Amino acid sequence: MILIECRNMNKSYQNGQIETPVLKDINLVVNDNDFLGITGPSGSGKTTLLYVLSGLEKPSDGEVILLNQNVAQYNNQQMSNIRKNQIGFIFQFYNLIPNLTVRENVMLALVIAKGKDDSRVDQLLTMVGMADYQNRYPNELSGGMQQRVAIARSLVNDPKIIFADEPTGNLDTINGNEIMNLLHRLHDEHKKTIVLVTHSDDYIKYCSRFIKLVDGKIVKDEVLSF
Amino acid sequence: MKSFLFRLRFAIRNITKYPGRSLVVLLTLILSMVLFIFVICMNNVLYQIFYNNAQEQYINVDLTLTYDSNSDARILSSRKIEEEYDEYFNFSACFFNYYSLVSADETNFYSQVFSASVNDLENVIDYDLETLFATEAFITETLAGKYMLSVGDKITLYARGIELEYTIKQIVADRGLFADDTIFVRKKELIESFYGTTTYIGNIVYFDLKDNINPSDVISILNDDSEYADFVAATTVNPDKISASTTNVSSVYIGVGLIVLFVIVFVLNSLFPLLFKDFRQQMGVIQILGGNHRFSLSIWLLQFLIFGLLAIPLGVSLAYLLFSKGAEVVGIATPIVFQIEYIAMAIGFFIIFIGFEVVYRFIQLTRRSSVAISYDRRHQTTKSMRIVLSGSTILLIMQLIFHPFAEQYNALVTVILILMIIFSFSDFALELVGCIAKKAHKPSAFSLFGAKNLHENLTIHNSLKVALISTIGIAITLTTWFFVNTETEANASRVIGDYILTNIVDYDEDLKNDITETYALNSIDEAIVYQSTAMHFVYRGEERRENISFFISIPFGNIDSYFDFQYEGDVANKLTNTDIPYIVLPKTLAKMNELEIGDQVTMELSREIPTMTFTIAGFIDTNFDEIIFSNLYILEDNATSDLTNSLFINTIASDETIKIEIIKQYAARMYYLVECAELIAGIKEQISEITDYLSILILAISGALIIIIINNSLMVFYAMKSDYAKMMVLGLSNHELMKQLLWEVFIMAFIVLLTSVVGAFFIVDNLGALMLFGKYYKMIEATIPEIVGRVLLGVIAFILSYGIYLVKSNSIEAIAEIKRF
Repeated sequence: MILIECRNMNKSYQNGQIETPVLKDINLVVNDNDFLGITGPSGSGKTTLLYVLSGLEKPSDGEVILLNQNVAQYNNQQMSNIRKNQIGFIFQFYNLIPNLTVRENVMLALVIAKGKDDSRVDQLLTMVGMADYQNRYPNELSGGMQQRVAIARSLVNDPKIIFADEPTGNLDTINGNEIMNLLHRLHDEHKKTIVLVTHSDDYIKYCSRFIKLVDGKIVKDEVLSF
Repeated sequence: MKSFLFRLRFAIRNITKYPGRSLVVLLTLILSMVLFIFVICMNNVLYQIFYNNAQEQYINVDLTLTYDSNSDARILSSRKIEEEYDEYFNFSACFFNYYSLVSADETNFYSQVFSASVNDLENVIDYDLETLFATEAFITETLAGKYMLSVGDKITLYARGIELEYTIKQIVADRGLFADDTIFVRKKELIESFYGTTTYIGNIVYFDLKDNINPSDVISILNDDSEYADFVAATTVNPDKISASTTNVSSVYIGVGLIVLFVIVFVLNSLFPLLFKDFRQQMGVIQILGGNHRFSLSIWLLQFLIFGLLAIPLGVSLAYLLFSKGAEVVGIATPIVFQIEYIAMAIGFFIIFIGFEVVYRFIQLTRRSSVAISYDRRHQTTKSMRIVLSGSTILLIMQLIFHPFAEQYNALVTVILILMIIFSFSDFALELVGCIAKKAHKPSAFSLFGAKNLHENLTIHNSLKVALISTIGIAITLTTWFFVNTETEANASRVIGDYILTNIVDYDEDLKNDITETYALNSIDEAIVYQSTAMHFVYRGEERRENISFFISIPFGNIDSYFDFQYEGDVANKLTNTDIPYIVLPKTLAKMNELEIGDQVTMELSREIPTMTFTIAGFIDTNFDEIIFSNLYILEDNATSDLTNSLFINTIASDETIKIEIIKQYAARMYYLVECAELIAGIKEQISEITDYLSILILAISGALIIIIINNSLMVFYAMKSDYAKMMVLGLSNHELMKQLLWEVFIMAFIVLLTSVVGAFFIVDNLGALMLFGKYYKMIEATIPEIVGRVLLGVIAFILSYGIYLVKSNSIEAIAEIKRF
């Protein structure tokens, strides 16, 4: 089943009078249970592509069909609902709320989606190995630990798709591998569709498929076996 | 419910996670609330004090009937009142009161003498007294303390050449009308010794009306009775008069109130950039997680609700404490009560302002992408204010040249424009400094970081504006305080005559000749003096009435012997004109009522001259708006002849004997000798309680403004802490950080000093005109050195607050700080 499809999609940013094209003529399909890696040099448009695929940004031109509907046709409320229930996000800099504990950061996503099952928070914290740290604050944790909390948060509403923007970018090799293993488990065991941006070729091997962007264009689209 | 509880916990966490910063925010909100209440409730609190004072003075007495000082009648008979009108009162008490020279041992002094029956005094002061015989007297505790008198001591009263000796029977604690320097004796024997007759005679009647009786009805009945037509009946506690007095007093503080409101607006406004840095990130994350704007906004509003639930009751309580303790300290017994509608208004404005700021800033954020704001930890930057600076400068110049509006509106527009100019100039000055420093040959932490902050950091710019407006507030507050405390003496110094013998209903030139021959005088001049007159005129198309305390007519050439005034207009010629009636008004009175030279007014003067039209000849440059001069004395019109009722006297040397002898001679004829210096001292003492009370409130406002300056610097510290931490991690030493901060504080202090002096100067110049909003006017002046001195207080507070800033900067834990952000 196709979850996301891009057709002749272009994205550019306007800065005053200057228009900067970032993505050019992107045609791409993301199927259910894909583990898609997006790679490429710095400035190639990887993160922008991730944001457009997830609906966080709208394309300048072309179509993006997300969960059977054109992103341009979603209103703000519909996009919020999708982010609440269908999509999870993981960022390079974790984006945890500094004033909330580990548990509360994960709970925040549940409360926003009006979820009722608090035990899900405990399950996920156990799954990512952070149950013992649930009363700590983000600034009391290492980078790897914070990223695991962010992963738990992204999963609390059982999303169809997880978008991960350089989740290992701030981590050492050991922590980075742990995070990638976790994502791989989510794909394999929990059948999540994952779209991952990474600049590291080492982490591409965790993916089932990868595309390479250079100067905003897809130059490679390969299926991989793990 | 779960969602609500989570959001509530989130909001509480936002407050408790940074206790230092939250305390600073809370203190700011509390002080803002206190200042708001000061501005809104001051008029009502003063009204309560004035009203209570009037009520305390008269206790159960609702009405008085007494002689009109501007008529000839002095003595009345209360027989008819007791026989025909007793259905209207619980009691009526007929007193004979006068001022007498008194001697006790070797001491001579001037005292008020009450005389009536003991029962009458008990009714009037609602207090049981001992029995009193004909040669005994009661005295007040004040009098006893002043002249060290005790029960059993002998005192002698002098009048009409008669000496009357009394023994003090009882010393009564000051109560109601029997207060200050007052003696009470039995009326029967006193009147017999003066007039050889008694029974129902007196010069004032006090009434306690029955509950169902309307005072106006009784006044009409007495006015219609021919026996009392020459006397004045009046209510003792007049709410309208009290309200007018209160408005006059609080009008003096309109300028202070206006600046304080600006302070509140800026202080509250400066809170938000500080708090929004965290909230931006939170809002971005919540949106990415699918939360809608309502979710984010509710956390923000809950946070401010919690602050409000603490700040509002604490602010109201602190304001109440200041108002009531301040009253206690100066001896005001009035229990201060905040009227619910004023507190509701203060709280309402407070909530509306905060709510508006929250919602406005929230809407600004919703326009940005959620990802962008989730990462955005930058300080907010300023917008260029050059257009505002040039625009408001041009408008101010036009305003000062053309004065397009009525005076008070001109003043308000000028004040607003000058504030806009100095605010935008301060922004511009910071930008300029930033630009110059950035171009330094040798880059330094200051040129790369400090200067950039000065150039564009909104928190720094807001902090400067708060310091600026608070400093101006301190200068204006202290200028007003200084004016209030010195005004009476300043007015007093203009009255240079020694004595006025007034109330002379049966004037004969022999009186003047006798006094001239008997005493060594520099000058003695006949005059016409009417007290408690009224002036009628047209104000903006409507009839208006203004009470005038003293209407004085004395030959113009001799005025300078008794009054040191400067005049505006052709006063010398017009006050020597014998055909046309002219008057000269205090400039403040003219300003209040938009009267000009050549305008005509009608004066209610006396029974003999119920109304008379005068033309305004000019103005007196004085803040004492209770006095009018006229050429009535020299007018050739027959109807206005033989009106002399006073003598102005200057003695050769300050000689108490003359005063004593004149009082001895003339007091029982109810001529009243006013010693001008004592009159002014008496006025000053009467208003000293209120003046002292207002001084305490004014100084509390100044104190609050100083705390705001200090508090605001701490807020800036909390906003900048993380940046300092990052620089320390990069290797900046404490010493270098201190140096940079010192540069910042001195640059900012210099800008505050310069702009505050200019701002304060312009605003002080317009304080008088601003009072016209309260239909009042006083000329308030301050020299440049005085303004600089008052501004320096705020600048010093600002510099000292950065001392705290420096100490705290020295103890930043860099790594912990970076981890937090």
